[in-house]
Amino acid sequence: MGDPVVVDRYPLELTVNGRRVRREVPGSRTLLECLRGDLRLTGTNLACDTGDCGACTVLVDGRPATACLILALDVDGAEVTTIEGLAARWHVRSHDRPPALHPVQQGFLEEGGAQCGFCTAGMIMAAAGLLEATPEPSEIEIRAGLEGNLCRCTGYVKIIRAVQLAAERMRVARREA
Amino acid sequence: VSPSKGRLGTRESAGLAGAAASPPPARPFRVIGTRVAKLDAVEKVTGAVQYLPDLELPGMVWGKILRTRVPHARITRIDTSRAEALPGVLGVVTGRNVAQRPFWPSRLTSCAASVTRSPPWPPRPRRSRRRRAG
Repeated sequence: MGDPVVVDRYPLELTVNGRRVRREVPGSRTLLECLRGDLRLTGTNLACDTGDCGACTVLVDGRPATACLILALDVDGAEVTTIEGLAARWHVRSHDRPPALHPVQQGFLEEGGAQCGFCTAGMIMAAAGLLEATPEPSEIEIRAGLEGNLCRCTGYVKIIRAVQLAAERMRVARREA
Repeated sequence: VSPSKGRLGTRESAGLAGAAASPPPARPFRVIGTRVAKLDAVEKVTGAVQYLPDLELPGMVWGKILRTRVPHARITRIDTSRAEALPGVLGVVTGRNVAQRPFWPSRLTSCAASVTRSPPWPPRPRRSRRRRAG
């Protein structure tokens, strides 16, 4: 009675946005808590905390995943990309100097794909993951790729246009490279 | 299509009107008909935007709400001693250590508690059958 609660911590090693990080974390810590709390990367948002809304989507080893449903220790050793590191990821793939924005970010900016912005980081990460797996998606493939991400502002049309614009620009950039 | 209507519409429709009635050439607008990025769009697409849960202020403390596991229950006693003894806990707030300022439903019930018989809350179904029948 009255004793402090002792929580076991375990070593965790991740590569987050190209940077190797080591932490000791409790077994119950989610990847999202780890990113937002331990690493102060608050661009990834916490909304439903049950994997329904997609606001916490990040890339784990290049594939979109809802960080709220993943225990950090389950992805020990993984390479994680968040919205903060997305532009640099595009840079690694095709440019000499890092651009300020990934083409998907630029697309959302130009097409008005971001309104209140709360779903935007997750939406952009899901779209970026989609374009890595499917570089030239049809509209249906874009919709399917973003089906796990909810947006209550835009009505999705501008988001889909943003992804189409990004896909087109990335296609041109690849051809020029 | 009248020239004035053409000017209100898009440039394309103004062009169509021009073919028929040659209105003055549409003046290029600086904002209307152009794409204007939202002022905070860059913050939003880069994740730099700060929402309330992202803020951390000097001296900020964290709170946690403990909810009942029993619906519609009456609180008889809350033992906060173990929670207060935990390291780092600044305080435990219950109904006992906040000022009681009853508002709408709870105010009604607290007034009714002294008179009792029929509590005004929850409201009972109105009997209006007789009036409707007449």
